Amino acid sequence: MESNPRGSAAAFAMAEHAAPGGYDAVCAEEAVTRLYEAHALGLIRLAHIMLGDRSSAEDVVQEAFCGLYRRWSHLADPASAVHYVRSSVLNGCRSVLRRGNARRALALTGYQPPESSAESVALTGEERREVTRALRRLPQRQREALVLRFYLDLSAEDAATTMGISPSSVRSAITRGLASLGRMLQESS
Amino acid sequence: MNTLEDRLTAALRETGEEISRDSVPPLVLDRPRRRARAGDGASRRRWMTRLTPLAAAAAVAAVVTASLAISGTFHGRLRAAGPAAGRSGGAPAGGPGALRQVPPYYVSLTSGSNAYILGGQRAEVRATTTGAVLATIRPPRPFGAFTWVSGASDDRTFILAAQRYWPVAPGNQGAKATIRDNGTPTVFFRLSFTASTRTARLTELATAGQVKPSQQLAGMALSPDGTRLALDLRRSIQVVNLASGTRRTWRWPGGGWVGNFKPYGQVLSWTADGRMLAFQQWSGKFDNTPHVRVLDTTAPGGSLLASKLAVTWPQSGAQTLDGPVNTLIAPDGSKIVAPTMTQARKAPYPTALQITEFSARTGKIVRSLDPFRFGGPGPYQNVLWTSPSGATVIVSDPRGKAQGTVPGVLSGNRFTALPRVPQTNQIAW
Repeated sequence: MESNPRGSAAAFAMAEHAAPGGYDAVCAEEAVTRLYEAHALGLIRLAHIMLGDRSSAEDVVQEAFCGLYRRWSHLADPASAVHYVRSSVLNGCRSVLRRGNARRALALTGYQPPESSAESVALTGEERREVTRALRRLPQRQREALVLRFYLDLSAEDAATTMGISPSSVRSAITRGLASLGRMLQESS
Repeated sequence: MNTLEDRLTAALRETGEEISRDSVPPLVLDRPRRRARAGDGASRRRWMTRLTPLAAAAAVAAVVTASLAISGTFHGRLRAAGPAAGRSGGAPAGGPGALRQVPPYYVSLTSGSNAYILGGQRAEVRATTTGAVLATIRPPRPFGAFTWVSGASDDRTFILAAQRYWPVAPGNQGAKATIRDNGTPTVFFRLSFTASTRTARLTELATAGQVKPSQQLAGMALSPDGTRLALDLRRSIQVVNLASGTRRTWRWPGGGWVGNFKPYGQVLSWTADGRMLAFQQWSGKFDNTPHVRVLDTTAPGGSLLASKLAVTWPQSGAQTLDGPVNTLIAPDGSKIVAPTMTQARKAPYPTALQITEFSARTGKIVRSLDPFRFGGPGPYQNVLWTSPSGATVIVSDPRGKAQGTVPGVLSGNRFTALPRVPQTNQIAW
């Protein structure tokens, strides 16, 4: 069980620690590679949640890091690289969904039920499918806000930075998103 | 799951965990910007269709180029050493399961484009089964290069030797001053790797002291329990207690030298109990007769003549040890594993290479594995790690490339190449 979906803060700190001299002393390629090693898993998972398609998720994250690499010299503060690449991943997911792949991407794929009783397997799988299905019917902003808040455990301020909107808009999107999600789940049950 | 938030969090986590840590693909930074956007399967297929003829043409061109390159080498001393001259052999290919019979992580020292660096500008911790880089470490300033690496048996503790400037191989005196300096002391660092977080911590080992350039550090090996470090100083061996800093020294009183010239791996090796240390001793005579001796490090320091002579070459059939190669003692102390060579005395000097196990007690050949045959002088095999009994070893083999070698696991006389091993001349498990 991977307990920390952000998978990042500690690993990133240690990756920095592992290279004496920090970002100033390493070239862009190494810095981006190290960032990838620390954050790729969490970001691919994020994109996978948003898209429901693993290969698209991997492509989006690769593109995001390639973009970061190309723009590394323009980055005012290397510490903001994580926010930058997370925003890029969200943008990439929006692009994939916008291009009409949404229906294909939203299909639930590849779920392996845990080894347990048949009944609990059925219940767990169905529960997750319902929640995920409902989540993906939400408007984009509400869906992103909920994922950033409840999967990445970001604060409203950090989610706002990632989404490029104000913190109050994030809070509003979370409130509305939860309300809509609750309604949809109630209707389906 | 009481609240909606709990249900949502659980569903998101379960979905996210469909992606396992091991399945993260490597980052490819140099790939061109794609017009076909992510997830656009149709356009991806379209591009693949268009690129297929180009790929086929490129493959043909690559084959032709490689053939020309190989034929070019035949004009020199290696003329008969290529596949066209009848290279054959090597153990048959094994399966990926073999990769799980060896320690899961290794450290390699890697550099940029400076081929003459005998070490690396950074140390990379990699996964044996995938080759994925799990952590990267650079020597802290003012040190500029790691020069040696050795690992304990816990698969998370490694010792790195560092120097201020690059050590340079003979013949590179024309290199820039900043990379020519081999006149600085060597210091030692402990690298502690945590697999669960994929992080590495570097700690300077003050107790290990410094090795002066005049002492000519020529190799090192960390004891299996990680408490002692053996240093090859060409004319002597020192064993340093890393907790107390105390050291014992054994000197070689005769001619020749101890160790070898910077092999691809560890030049010294320990038995699992941390008592016996195996080392090479070359006679220094015209024929460079090599020996492997085994030293009891619990005895007081003194003369290396007190060590036991385990294997001496040439063996029957003119088999010998040649070149910058390692020889390892199996951790149970029963065998010496060595890459050996048999070369004919007449042109075109056909060469046979093999990994040979010798009885540490009698010095006789137990068995030979992974045989290669070349039409002339060939590249080197090397042995980089052995399992407790020597039944499974990690070797580097002259297979798969026109030049250079490929590290892999040799088990049951089947060879499984390690994936994505970087260009390196120092590696440790």
